[in-house]
Amino acid sequence: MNLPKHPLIREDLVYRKIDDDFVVYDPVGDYTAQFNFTAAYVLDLCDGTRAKDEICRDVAKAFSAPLPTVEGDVQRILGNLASMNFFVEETEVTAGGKNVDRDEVAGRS
Amino acid sequence: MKREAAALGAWLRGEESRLIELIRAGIDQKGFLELASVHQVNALCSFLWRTRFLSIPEDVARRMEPILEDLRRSYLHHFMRNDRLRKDLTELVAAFEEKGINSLFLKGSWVAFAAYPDPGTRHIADIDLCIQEEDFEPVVEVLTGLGYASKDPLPRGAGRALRQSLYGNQLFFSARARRPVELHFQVLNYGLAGQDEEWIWEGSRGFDVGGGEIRVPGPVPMLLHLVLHANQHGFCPLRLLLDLHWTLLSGGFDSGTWREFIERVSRLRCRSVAYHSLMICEELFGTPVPEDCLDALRPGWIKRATYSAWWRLGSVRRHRPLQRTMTANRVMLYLLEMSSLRNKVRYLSELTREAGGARGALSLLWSLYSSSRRDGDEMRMKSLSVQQKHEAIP
Repeated sequence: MNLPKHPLIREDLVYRKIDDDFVVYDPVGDYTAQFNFTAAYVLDLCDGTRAKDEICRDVAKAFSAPLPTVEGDVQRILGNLASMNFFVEETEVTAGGKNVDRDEVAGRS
Repeated sequence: MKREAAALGAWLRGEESRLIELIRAGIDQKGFLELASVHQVNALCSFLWRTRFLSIPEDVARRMEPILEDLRRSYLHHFMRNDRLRKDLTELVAAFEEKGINSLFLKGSWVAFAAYPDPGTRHIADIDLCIQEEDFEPVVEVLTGLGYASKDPLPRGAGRALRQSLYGNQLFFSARARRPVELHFQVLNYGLAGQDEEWIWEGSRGFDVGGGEIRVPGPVPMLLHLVLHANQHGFCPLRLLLDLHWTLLSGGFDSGTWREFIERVSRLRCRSVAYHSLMICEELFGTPVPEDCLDALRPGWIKRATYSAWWRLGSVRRHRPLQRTMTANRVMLYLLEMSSLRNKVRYLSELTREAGGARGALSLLWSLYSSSRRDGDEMRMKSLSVQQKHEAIP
């Protein structure tokens, strides 16, 4: 799966913090993924309102880290999430049975 | 007994000093993980290590680090999928209630949430659902409405479905993003159809799975079901015996309940099954079974010897899987260990009829005779594949 412009995590995924572990369960693939803190933070930002660059900026700010370093990590994390099909596909975002622009759905002009 | 099997036994019994001794003596970590995986206890091992073994020396903990990580991943996976199972269960019950259908949930759906020390410690493959014969068609309608589809072509009518579930293949439904459902028509689903189970339905109880209530059999039929089920699989994986262990530890078994259990077991003529299942549990895990109950169930020495030989209790004690297919076990369990001679003859004739006459019966007999290593291997592959369904993100 390609990385969407504005990554949006699938609604059916179950996300929990168990003791010190962040875990996501995918009921479709019957699959569990374990995250470190940074990956969990990135996952939280994938709400369909942010582009990759915005996610990088938010992560850099939150962790007080240089943007170029963060970009590589975020790209890797988003790539992993996309490879596990954790994002809503662009064509799945529909309104009234008709495919619509994701930006519109997420409330962007 | 191999050191890995001894370590697994000590782990499951909570014998910390014995476990430390075995780890220090050196265990093959890959072999241990494979054994824990075959017996579907890796998640339980992880939980017990974190909560029960509180004086593990540093050198032992360091040695176990790679194993512990693997076990932890298994625990997290089963915790998450069982957490999601609650939703599947409550949605099923709500849909059944809407149509006025009675249902009973067996095994995993109850033991994981009510008996085991933590919901993430019990591996659950599917939802065991018991319904009444007359509800078969409405149940299929509900399941279809929820996105379920039958694995095989569905039998025509409730009567055929009941016969198939007892004398042929189980009825199995699966759906995208939902736990598969295995349909049963009898809680004590062995042998002949038409057994009186009114007492089980009447004595059923509500159980809150978190988010909704399901109905489950009372303590006696649930224990009976678990006992027969463990025996049907030749006590492998060990998880089946642990179901009994944790059920008995979870309480609700006073002298009156044990009396009723013995009475029901005697009526079903399966004292030997109950005795050996409970005895092996007590022996392997220190399960609290009252001595007078075991005395009341204990068969004569010839029966004990033949049972031990046929069901290979020596292998069970060494944590080695019984290498015989489940179909063979299921049939032999009824023919060897349950009911009266007259019913066994009737059961054989029903099996023959369901198998399609004499030719089918011959093929069934052949499968019983030649039951090979397949079951053990299948079980191994299944548990390993569940293990691999987990990934750590950087």
